Amino acid sequence: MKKAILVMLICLLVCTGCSLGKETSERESASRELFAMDTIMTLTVYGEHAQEVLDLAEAEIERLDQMLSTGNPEGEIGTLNRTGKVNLSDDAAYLFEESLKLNDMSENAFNPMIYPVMEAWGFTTDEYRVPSKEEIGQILPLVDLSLAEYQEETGVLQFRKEGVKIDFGGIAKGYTSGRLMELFQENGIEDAVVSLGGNVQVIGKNPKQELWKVAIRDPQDPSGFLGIVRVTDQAVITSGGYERYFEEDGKRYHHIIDPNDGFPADQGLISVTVISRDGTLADGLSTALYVMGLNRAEELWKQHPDLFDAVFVTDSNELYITEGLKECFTSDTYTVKIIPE
Amino acid sequence: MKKRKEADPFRINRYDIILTAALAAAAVICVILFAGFHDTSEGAFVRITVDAEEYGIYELSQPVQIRIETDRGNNLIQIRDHQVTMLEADCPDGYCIRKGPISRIGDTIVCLPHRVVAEILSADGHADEFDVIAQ
Repeated sequence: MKKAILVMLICLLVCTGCSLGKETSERESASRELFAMDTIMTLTVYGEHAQEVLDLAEAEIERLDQMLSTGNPEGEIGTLNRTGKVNLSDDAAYLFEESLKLNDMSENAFNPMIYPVMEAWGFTTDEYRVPSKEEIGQILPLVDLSLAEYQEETGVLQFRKEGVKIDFGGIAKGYTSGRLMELFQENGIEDAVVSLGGNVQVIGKNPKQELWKVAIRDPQDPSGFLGIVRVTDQAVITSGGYERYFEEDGKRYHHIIDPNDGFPADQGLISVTVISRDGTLADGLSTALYVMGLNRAEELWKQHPDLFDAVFVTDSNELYITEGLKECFTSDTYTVKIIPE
Repeated sequence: MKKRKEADPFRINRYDIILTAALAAAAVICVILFAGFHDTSEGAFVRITVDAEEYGIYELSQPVQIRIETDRGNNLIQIRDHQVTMLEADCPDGYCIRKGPISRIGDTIVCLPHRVVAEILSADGHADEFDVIAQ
């Protein structure tokens, strides 16, 4: 009798221990790492024909990269910037329309016409320099969406002024991750996670059949995380000045340029993460909210609480989340303050 | 009549000793398992890939310098004190060097121009705390 109890006890204890480990599902899965859109991408899908679906995904990324890259002179955007005129494909037309919406709702904090200013700062070539106020003043009038004329009937986009250039880089990765999710679902994949250079989008559940746990990089500690958000069917996209910057005369210049003045955004935020079902919106808004600063970002969210949620870190080390994240965001490093609706 | 000796319920017999020992052993096993599953922040291995192909997996406990020379350029990765650092890289941006040392599971050093990636893995080759990193 005692022996039986003893054996049972040990089994119970050991089994409890075991169940803390992984319960990975036995379903077919495949993972792939690739380089595109000037970054590293990882795609993981769960479901039948996982490898074949990843082949389709890779081809789709390649197609969009060729089309949208400013560095490809033969691509759609390359041609537009070179000749001032191009026939937009459905993808690029959608990105242009979304850019107009984002530009409008963010009061010009997002503007795809910022490209000539990015060139002046050297962010397009990695040959960094600090342009003078006069130089920026001369370029800034080019950063104006009304200088791009789009005729819906013909699909032609034309620039009205010499020197105007467009770059959908601020929303291209978010759009691509959204397209991948559609492609996965059309091909019977229920669960998937992609990271396009740190821009994350997920569908379904993780291998433990829980919500996907997305760790968000801590802007203060490049090897740590500011917290974890648990999501399904969402994009999680972070913007921060820590991602890309250069230093000159002891001053740091980061790559998120305010389209209103042509200089690095300095509105007291050091990291903004946007969580939304719409990858394009999440990508564009993460940049826009960073440029807008906490107060204006908060106002914008209160106008569209169903469209997105956000996590903000200020330069005084305060962390704010919008109310929609109350139940799914946790942080070990910060005191979480909630922005009510 | 010889009185039959009654079992003393408080007397410790050898089965009790075995039971106690077994329970203690089980408890120790549990603690080890528990610690093993939950202390996941510090990694045990680093996986290095070049152009998305695995270059090698190295133990963080073994100090070593790994020189990677490809057509795209040269990198020198150092493992020391359970940390991985990009010591040298002749890439144009130098972001991989500025990243500094990494040691936590899931963390990566990426040298994009040379397509060299170093990722910290747990003892069983996975990251447990989270599924993916947004950055």
